[in-house]
Amino acid sequence: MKRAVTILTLAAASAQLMNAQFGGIFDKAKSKIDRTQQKAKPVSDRAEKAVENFTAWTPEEEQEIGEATAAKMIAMFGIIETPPLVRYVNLVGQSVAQYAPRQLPYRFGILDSDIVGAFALPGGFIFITKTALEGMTNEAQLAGALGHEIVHVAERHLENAIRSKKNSSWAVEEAKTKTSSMTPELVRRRADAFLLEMFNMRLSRDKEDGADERGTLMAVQAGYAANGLLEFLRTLAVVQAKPETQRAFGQLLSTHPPFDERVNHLSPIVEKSDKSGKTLEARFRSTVK
Amino acid sequence: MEQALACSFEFFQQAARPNKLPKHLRGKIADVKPFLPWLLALATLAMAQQGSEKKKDAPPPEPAPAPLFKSKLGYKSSKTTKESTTLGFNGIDPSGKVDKQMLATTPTTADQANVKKMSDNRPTDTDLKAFVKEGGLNAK
Repeated sequence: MKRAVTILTLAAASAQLMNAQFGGIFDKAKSKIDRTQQKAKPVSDRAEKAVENFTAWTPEEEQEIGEATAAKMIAMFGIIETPPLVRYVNLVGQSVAQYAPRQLPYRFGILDSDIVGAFALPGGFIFITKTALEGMTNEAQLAGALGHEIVHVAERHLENAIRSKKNSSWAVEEAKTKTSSMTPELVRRRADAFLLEMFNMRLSRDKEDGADERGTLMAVQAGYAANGLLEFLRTLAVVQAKPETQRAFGQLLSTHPPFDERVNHLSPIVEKSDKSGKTLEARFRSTVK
Repeated sequence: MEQALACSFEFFQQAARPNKLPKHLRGKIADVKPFLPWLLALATLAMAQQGSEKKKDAPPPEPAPAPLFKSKLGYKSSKTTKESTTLGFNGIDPSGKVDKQMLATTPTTADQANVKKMSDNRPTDTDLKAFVKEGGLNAK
């Protein structure tokens, strides 16, 4: 009996001690969570409001945001300035862009980056990296890759995805400044938010497949061989298999489906396409060297 | 610092042969003698610190990445003086993600001028028609 009383007393004392020691921690944690929820609510409310008020950018807004994001991309990576190369990429891009579903002043630039990639920005600013260009062997491949990016811009893929993502840095930024006029500072902030999302966002599978498909068809309409983009994706699938190339492909693979899956989707479309298109390998080699 | 070390070493040597020194100096040397090992230790520490700071200031340049493809473009870039060149692999982290430092880059007026150049680089209709014709592509 005496023993039982001792055990009970000890247990009660331990419970008191435990409560004194950890009870405070639990209370603090709970109140911290409550405070965070309270603090976050207005931000998410504003983001939701932005999504509810979703309307496509006006052409002026799209241009301004495009210019600001393009300037930032150039600041980050640098741009190739060799005139014949720049002129050539623009001519190939324009040849394809003539068939774009939405006409914009499409402009093409080569980023001085060691990563393999291409980027479509609002307002028709399209960039391809010099390393991606180095991996191509003919003009049809370049036309197909640029066609893919043109589709993203023309169909507003990134704009729609970013603006419909609740709580994204873009949505919050847009909501906070919804009623403000577009000052240079505001445009810069929106450009920052846009790029942050762009580098981290994976577009839906159907958007990427659609861009491969319709980009290829636009290149075919322009007179290029249908297998341009497909061949380039096959090259990338082989090179990417080497472990030391992860750094060059990390960005592309974190935002796009795997190359072999894209090849599987595109192959039957290319099979059915017109076979009379040009690859223009000699012209490509004479400029891209 | 090295000069100070050499001086203290000389002083220490002379202190080791006190008989050769004038009397008035011997007393002073005896006063300073207990502090000499401490002085030496401090000097060594200071030198080590300097060495490690130098290392921090100039990290070894990252080796150039091996070319992915056989082809290597000959080009002129706007990047040569940019801070991004110091980040190695052009501001891309080992997983292939864009470096946070890189994302914080602010465009300069030169970068904005390059955006304008992109618009100026749009080919004219005549140029485009000639290019399409030369390649045997489809005229629209």
